[in-house]
Amino acid sequence: MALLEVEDLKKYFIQGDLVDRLLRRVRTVKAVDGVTFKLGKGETLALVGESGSGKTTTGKLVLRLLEPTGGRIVFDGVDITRMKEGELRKLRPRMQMIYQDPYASLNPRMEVGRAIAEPLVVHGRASWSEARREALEMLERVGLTPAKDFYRRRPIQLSGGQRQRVVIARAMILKPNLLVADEPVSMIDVSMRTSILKLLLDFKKEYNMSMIMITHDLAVARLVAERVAVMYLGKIVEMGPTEDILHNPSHPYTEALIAAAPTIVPRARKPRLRIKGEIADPSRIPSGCRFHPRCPYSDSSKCIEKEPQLRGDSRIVACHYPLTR
Amino acid sequence: MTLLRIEDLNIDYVTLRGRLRAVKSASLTLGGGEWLSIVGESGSGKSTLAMSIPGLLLPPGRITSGRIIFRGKDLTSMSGEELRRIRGSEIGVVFQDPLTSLDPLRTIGDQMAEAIMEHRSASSKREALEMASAALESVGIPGDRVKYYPHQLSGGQRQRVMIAMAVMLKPKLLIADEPTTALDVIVQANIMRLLKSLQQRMGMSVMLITHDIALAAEVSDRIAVMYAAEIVEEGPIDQVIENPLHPYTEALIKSTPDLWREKTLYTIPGNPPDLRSPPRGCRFHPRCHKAFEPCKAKEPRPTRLRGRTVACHLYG
Repeated sequence: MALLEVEDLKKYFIQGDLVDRLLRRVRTVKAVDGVTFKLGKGETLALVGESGSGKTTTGKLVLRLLEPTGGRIVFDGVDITRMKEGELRKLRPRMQMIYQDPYASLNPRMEVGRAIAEPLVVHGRASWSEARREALEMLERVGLTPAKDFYRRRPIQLSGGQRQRVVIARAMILKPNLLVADEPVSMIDVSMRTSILKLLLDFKKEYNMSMIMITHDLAVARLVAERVAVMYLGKIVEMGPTEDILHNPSHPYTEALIAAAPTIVPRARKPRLRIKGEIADPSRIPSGCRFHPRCPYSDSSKCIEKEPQLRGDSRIVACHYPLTR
Repeated sequence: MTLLRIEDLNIDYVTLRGRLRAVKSASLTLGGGEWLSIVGESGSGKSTLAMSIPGLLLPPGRITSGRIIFRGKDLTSMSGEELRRIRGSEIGVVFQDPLTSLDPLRTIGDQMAEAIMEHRSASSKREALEMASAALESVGIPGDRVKYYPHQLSGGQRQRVMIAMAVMLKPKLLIADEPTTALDVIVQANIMRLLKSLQQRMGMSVMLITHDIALAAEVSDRIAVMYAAEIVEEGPIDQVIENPLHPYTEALIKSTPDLWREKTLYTIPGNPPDLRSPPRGCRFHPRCHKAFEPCKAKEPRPTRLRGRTVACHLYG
C-alpha cells in the first residue's frame, strides 16, 4: 500500500508587489505544475533534475511545509492537502526533512547533542533526561563517537560530513515514516557521500521508512532509489525503475543528464547527447514541450505547439518522440 | 617543456592554537600545454597548494620553505607587485564561486576592461571593451553582454565570465579551483568541455583542483592525489586510474559513485586526520587495509616508479 499519494500537485508563486499588481505586471512562477506519483511503504523515489526543476518545492509541498496551489496529497490514507496546522502537528513527527546545507539547519550556539534530543521533548515523546540518553545512543548509531564528547560540541567544531550525520540523527530520533532528503550529500566530498547515503539506507531498512531523495546527481539516485522521477520545469518528464531508466532513457532530458555525469571509467560507453543552455525561467515556461528549446531532437512544430502528456505504465514518459533502443 | 616546477614546498598556517602544516614537502612539475588535476578531500591541502602559486595564500598561510619555479623564475621570492603583474597576464585563476569575485554594482564589460587596462594590454577603454566582448564570445556568451550586470546572468554564465576574464590575456597557466562545484550537472559538463577546448586551442596549461576524481579523469593528462597535506601519488591519468599504486588512490576511486561501474556502497573507513596532530609514520596508515609494521613508524618517501611517483612503503 502506498504511504504517500500525490495527485496533480501544483505550486504557483506570484511575483510582484502591490504596485506591480495595480499595473497588472505580476508574473506567475509555476514552480510545480501538475505532479503525480505514489510512494510505497519502505520505498525510495529519487526526484532528479537541475535547479529550477521544482524538485525541492515538491519535497516541501508533500510535507506541507508550503501551501499547495492545487492538487491532492494523501499521507497514509489521510488527505492532508488542506489540513490545519494544529492537526498537522500530530503528523509532523512522522514526516521529516533534511536539507543540503547541514550548517544552516543547525543552531550554531546549541550543543549538537541537545539539537538531536530536542525534537523528542518538543513533540512530548520524552523528558529531557530520557531524550539525552536517546540522543547519546543516536550519536553512537551515526558514528559520532565517543558520543559523550560529541554531545557537547557545537556545529562549528564538526566537519561537513559530521554535521550532516547530526542532522540525520536529529531527523531519525523520531523514527519517521517518511523522509524527504534534499540534496543531503551535494556539499560533501564525493568520497564521503557513500557513507552518508549508507547511513540513510540503514535507517530506512530498520524503520521501514519511505524516502524521497532530491538530487541532481544520478549516481546518488542510483545508490539509494528503487525508482527515479526526472523533473523539468515543474513537471515529471520521465519516471520508472532506476536501473531501467539509467540503461534505457526515453526522454532526451534524461539522456542528457546521464551523458553529463562524470565517470572514472576510461572509454565508457556514454550517450553522446549534449544539450546547450540552461533551464528556462519558471515564470516564462516555453510553449508545447517545455524542454523543446534545449532538445536536440525537437525539429517538428508538434514539440513547439503541443504539450506531451505522460504515457505508460511502470515506465512513463512525456515526449512526442521518445528514444527507442 | 616544463612550465612550472614546485620543489619541496611547505606551507604552514600559524594560529593561536598552534602551527598546522597544510602542505608538506610537495614537489610537482607541469609541462607546457599539459592538464594536471590535483585531487583530494576537503582539508587535504589541494587549494592551499594551488593558491600559493600565484601568491593568493590567505593569511595566516605562509610558504615556509621550497621553491615555485614558473617559466624559470622563482615566484616565492617575488614581491606582491610582481606577482600581481603575473596574475591575469601569465597565470589566470578561476574560483568556485563567481559571485564573490564579481562586483555586483559594475557591468561585466567594465570589470573586464579594467583588468585589461591594468595590464596595459589595450591602449584605450574602447579597445579594452572590444577585447572584453571578444573574450565573452570565446566562452560562448554573446559579446553584447558586456553591458550586463552580474545578477542578470545565471550561475553557469557567471562562471563563463570568470573563465573569460581568466583567459582573456592569454595566460600560460590557468588554475581552476573547484570551478563547477556550485553548478548543476549539465552546466558542469558544458563548463568542463569549454575549459578543455580553451586549453587545446590556446595551448595553455591547466591545473584543476577538485574533490571529484571522476571529473578529473575525463579531462586530465596527469593527476596528483593529495592526502593530509601530502602528495601521495602522481602520474599519467590513465595509469593512475587503471592501476592505482597508493592504497588511498585505490580507495578514493572505489568510493566514488559512478554510473558506468557496478553499484557499490564502498566507503573509506575512518576520517581524515587532524593536521595539528597527524598520525606518526604514513598518515594514511590508520585507514589503510594494506598497512604493515613500517607504516606505523616511518614516513614513506616519494619513490619514482614507471613514470609515476608514489609515497608508500609497499614500493620501497
